[in-house]
Amino acid sequence: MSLLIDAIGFGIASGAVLALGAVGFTVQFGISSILNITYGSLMTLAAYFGLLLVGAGLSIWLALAVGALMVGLISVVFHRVLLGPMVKRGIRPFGLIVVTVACGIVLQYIVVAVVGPTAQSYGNVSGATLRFLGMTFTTAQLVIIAITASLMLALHLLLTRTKLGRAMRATSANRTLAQSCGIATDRISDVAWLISGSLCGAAGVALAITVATFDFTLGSVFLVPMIAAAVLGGVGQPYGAMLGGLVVGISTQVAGALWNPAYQDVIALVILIAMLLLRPRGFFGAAWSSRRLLA
Amino acid sequence: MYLGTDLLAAWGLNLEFGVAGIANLAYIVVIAAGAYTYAVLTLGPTSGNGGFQQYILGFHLPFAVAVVAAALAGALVGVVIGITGLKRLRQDYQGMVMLVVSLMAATVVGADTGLFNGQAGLSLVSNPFSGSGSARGDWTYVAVVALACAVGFLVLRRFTGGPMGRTLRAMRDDEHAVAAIGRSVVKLRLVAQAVGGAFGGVSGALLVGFIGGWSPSAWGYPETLALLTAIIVGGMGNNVGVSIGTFVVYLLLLQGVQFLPQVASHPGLTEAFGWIILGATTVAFVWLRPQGVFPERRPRFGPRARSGDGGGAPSGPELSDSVGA
Amino acid sequence: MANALDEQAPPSLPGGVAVVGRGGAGGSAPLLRVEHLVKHYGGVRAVDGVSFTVAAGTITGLIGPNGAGKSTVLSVVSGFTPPTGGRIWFDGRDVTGLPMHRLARTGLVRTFQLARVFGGLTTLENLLVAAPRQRGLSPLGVLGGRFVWGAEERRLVERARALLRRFGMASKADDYARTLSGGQKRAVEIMRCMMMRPRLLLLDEPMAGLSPRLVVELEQILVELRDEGLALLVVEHELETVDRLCATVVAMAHGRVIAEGTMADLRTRREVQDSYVVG
Ligand SMILES: Nc1ncnc2c1ncn2[C@@H]1O[C@H](COP(=O)(O)OP(=O)(O)OP(=O)(O)O)[C@@H](O)[C@H]1O
Ligand SMILES: [Mg+2]
Repeated sequence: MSLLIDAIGFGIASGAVLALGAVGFTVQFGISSILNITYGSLMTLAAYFGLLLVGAGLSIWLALAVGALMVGLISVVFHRVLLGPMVKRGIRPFGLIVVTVACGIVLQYIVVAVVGPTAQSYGNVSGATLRFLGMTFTTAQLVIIAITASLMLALHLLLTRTKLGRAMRATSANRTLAQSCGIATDRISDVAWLISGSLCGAAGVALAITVATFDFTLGSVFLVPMIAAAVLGGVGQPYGAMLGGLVVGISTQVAGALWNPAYQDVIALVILIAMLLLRPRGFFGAAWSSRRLLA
Repeated sequence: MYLGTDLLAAWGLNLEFGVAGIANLAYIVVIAAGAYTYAVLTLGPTSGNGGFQQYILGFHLPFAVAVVAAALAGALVGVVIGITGLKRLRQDYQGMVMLVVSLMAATVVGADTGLFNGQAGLSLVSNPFSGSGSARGDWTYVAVVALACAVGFLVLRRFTGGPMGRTLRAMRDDEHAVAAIGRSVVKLRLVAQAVGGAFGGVSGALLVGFIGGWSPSAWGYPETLALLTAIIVGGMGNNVGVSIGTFVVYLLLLQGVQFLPQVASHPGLTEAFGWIILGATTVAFVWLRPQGVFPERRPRFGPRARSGDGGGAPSGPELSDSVGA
Repeated sequence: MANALDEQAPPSLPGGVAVVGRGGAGGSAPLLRVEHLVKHYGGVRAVDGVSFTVAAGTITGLIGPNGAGKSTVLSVVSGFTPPTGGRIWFDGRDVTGLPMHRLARTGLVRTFQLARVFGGLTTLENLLVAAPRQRGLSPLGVLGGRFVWGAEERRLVERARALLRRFGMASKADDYARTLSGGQKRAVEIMRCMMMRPRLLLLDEPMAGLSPRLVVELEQILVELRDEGLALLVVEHELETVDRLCATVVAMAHGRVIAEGTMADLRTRREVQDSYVVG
């Protein structure tokens, strides 16, 4: 029983990281209809930025913020220079996915070329352990949960309470229509890629904090449960992705504890496949769906 | 030798992706299926090696039987993967499903030690021709692979040319319209994936027979990307072009970098450069020349009525909608 | 194309329509019978209880204002999407819910409102690919190669070239279909259907976007096809064309049939005038 409760606690912690990443991924897709596989490698990149900054003497949480911002800026450039023009030139979705896969591999091996393939670590940053409702958390985990919660709240306020957020939602729902209503969709795209890229970076550093050691495959391995979370909530739906992150996080940890730790990832994959094949618009699809994923 | 097995794999994927338009990012799984099938069929029973590695079957079957079985296994796995792609999803979504299938397969195989010895992989698969001295055995093997490639190319041409190739290319262009002319999209897709899978299976079997082992870490989606790059560079749908593309990608990019000077302090640096160049090449081609170096050839029938070739439009299949429009 | 009639080559007409079997032209049982057809998209009642028949060897018109549900009727009848309710009989058989490729093989063939051609295939290939029961598609044919299907292929090429001449597109035979103009694509789509030797052809606005001259020529071809025994169901906005071609006309609005009869007859009807400003 305590095993189960512990697993739930750990699931919440990893769910927070998942939610962070999944929301960024889903916002990107919502705004530009691109399934950006490079996302995983950008998370890796953020983790290594974090390493650099911690090495330079920054506190880990400051490193998280700076790393997130840097990856956010890189994402904007990536979309501005490469993906955006490709979409405008009429490259088909599958061509784009090939390109993002390729870019992901390039980025991943640039990391290898610069830092090398050996495993890295931030040292001991997890802090004291705390018990809470029978669950055990490290301080670092609690901070990450708090960061995720506040970023999600901020995103919620941005999307619902500001003019910018409304413009983003309008662009996400129907780009052409938004454009003809006088919304500067290119600028909105930039903002969306900055926000989603920063979430990606934050998730990357947070992930690197929660795992003991990491190497250049950090993000690409994490990509699958993260996409599972995004799809579970309906791709393009930020709130869905938040919930999806928690569901995937908890269910994989619980399954790992009760059954076989090696199958932890398999659970995420099964969730993802089942969702893609049975309810491609996400669990809340009928009510929330605005994007057409069905051909 | 490696070129031979890579050719077989690239041809199989070209049939699926270049000709039939199936966004198969899980192609490496059929190669793995062939490799594992071959390995467990040719290895002796588990008990024979003192429990050094665990796996199912272990029949000690002869080479030829195992290769045929690997082809069948590849075809079967190809069909299974094909079924997951049948749902009418957007093409990039389909690609993602396939990507996930491939990761899932790798995870399951890696996690389950009883099946194929888990993460450690299978090894000690002996070269079937090494009885006659190692060097001669190797050459015999190369000859066998060359023969397999020759046969494979003939079979491939049967599927990419003629009425079958035409129908598959039609499906690539418009699945709805293919149904409207009375062809079953489901059947066509599964045929393409079964045949492509058989190619991948043989490729995997021949590879593992030569190098002697196979483990889950040997197959990630980068390997599928390498094959896709070969196809995109060479020219989707053009068998000869894809062959040349394979040659270029493998020999120059992935093998050629080994001749770069090694930097002692950076292990894996050259390999990293190989992948970086590979990825950059892919992006460059999708951007600049989506139809590849050797575009699909335009079929002509008998004497032409008149020179109606004024359009001068390039090539057959494309990753882009705009070029040539 | 101006001399479409001259180009015909009896005894084997290039268009090659299978002669009507059961029923026969002007016979008793209709070739197509649709009863209480219903199709909902989410909350939209695109088709809401439509019934009509198409007799063998006739051209039936389907008219109505934009959004009346005409294309949806074609989509459901052709098996492109399954109906929400109702029954469809083709040639005396209940074919409700059969998928499109099965229906196409029994001789019920459609075109799309936006012409769909295989852009990466040449015009000639677009026709060849549609020929039914090709030996080159059987397992034996694929593996046997030209020995098995070579002769058949030559016959098909002949037939396809004859069709291309009849439609005045012989010079485009080796052009990629995606380089063709909108009207040419439409012609390719109709020729592709003819290669299948259909018994009932569903055409969705075949005249849209054609020049007045081409409209006249296509009308002529459709009449010839009818005289060869083919039945046609034509969705069309140009009422002059409907008047000239169609013996019976079905008028739809808001997913329902509001009137049925000859075009002259419909022009006088109040309901039709109200929902559809008849020219
Ligand atoms: N795939 C679909 N999903 C949702 N609604 C649809 C779909 N297809 C058609 N509709 C709706 O069904 C109704 C009928 O559409 P349909 O295309 O059949 O009209 P139509 O008579 O062919 O019009 P037009 O003359 O403009 O071609 C319309 O209100 C349309 O919005
Ligand atoms: Mg219509």
